Amino acid sequence: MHISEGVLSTPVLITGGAITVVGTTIGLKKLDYDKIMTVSLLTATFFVASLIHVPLGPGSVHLILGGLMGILLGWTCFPVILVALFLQALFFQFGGIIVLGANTTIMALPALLCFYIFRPWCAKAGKKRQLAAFGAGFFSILLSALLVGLALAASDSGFLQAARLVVVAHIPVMIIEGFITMFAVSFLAKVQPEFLEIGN
Amino acid sequence: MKKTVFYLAFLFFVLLLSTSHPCFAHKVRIFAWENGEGTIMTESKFSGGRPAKNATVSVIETATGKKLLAGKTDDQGMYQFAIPKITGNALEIVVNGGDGHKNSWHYTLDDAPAVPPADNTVVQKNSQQQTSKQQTAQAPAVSSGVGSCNAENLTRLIDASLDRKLAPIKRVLAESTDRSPTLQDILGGIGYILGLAGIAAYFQSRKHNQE
Repeated sequence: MHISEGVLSTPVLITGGAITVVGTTIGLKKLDYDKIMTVSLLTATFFVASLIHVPLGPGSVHLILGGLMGILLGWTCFPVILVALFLQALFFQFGGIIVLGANTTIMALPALLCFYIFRPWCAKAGKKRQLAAFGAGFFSILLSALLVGLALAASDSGFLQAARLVVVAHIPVMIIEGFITMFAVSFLAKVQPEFLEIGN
Repeated sequence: MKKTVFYLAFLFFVLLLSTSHPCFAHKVRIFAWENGEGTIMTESKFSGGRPAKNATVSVIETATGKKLLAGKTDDQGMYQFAIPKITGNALEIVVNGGDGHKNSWHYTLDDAPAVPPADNTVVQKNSQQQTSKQQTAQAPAVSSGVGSCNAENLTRLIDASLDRKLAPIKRVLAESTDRSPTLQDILGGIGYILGLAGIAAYFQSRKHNQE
């Protein structure tokens, strides 16, 4: 999911950067004083999740946990993902500093969408919550892959080809992320219900 | 309670699955070496160790930025090309996976001899080129032993053979330049995140106090 430096065109980079700035500002405004530590814990989780490699599919793919961030954090997922991606670019050479805005948008925008779509279902315990969490994990990756396709298409390569390549490579991750998000949300709801309150 | 144990076991299993593969996340990389027969071999891999199949490799002259040639990698992520004639002595070899992953390898032709593949039959040549003193000193001894073999041909043969033999070593060296994330990187990153949380908490508390 990390687009490398030098692939995207300038307009795409600027658009991504602008969306990231707006999202981060709103996210930081919404961030409550008492929740800073829980949010930073989730940042650390997101930061490390990219190192968890899924040995399936035609390419090598890794966990992203965008759906989990979105459903737990709401708008705050923007600053969280921005910080984590910045550190990943710095320490692991994933992505890069110039494409940071675009990469943040690619992962945070779907996460935010999943928050609005699936979050209301999460309030009630039981099957509905599990289904919503699975959906958030699954669709955040799907939408991110489509956004990557869109960003590449706007830069040069054809949308269909790029999107197909990225979506196909991420199908196993979609399913795995769906399950992981489902288990994580159910687990948190049971053990640390305050995690589910951060986004509100 | 039982369910909690189940979830923990699942998470543990996922982590185990991930650590049993010594491979890390999604980034493409390329490395190149010379195989001693006048060709440059390139190998492209995702950082998980999987070969980057059907990726576009383009070769760019560093001095002028001119694109010299391009091609696709095969099933092993390999792509090879004959050393092109260039101005300057450096090449930029760029791989593009087509899915937003791109990387490059800076190749210097300094130590790579631009010698065509040496024939097995040694051709006697009237050498007009200057050879070093040492070589001329060795020449009579060699030619007396092998017959139709002068110093220049011999050096050339040795060079070509050495290049061939050293190709695997060059490859390993090239491959080892890529660094995968270490524990220090991971812990460092987590440390930064906690530090940022501290800064945020500090500013929020100041705001809190002022109100």
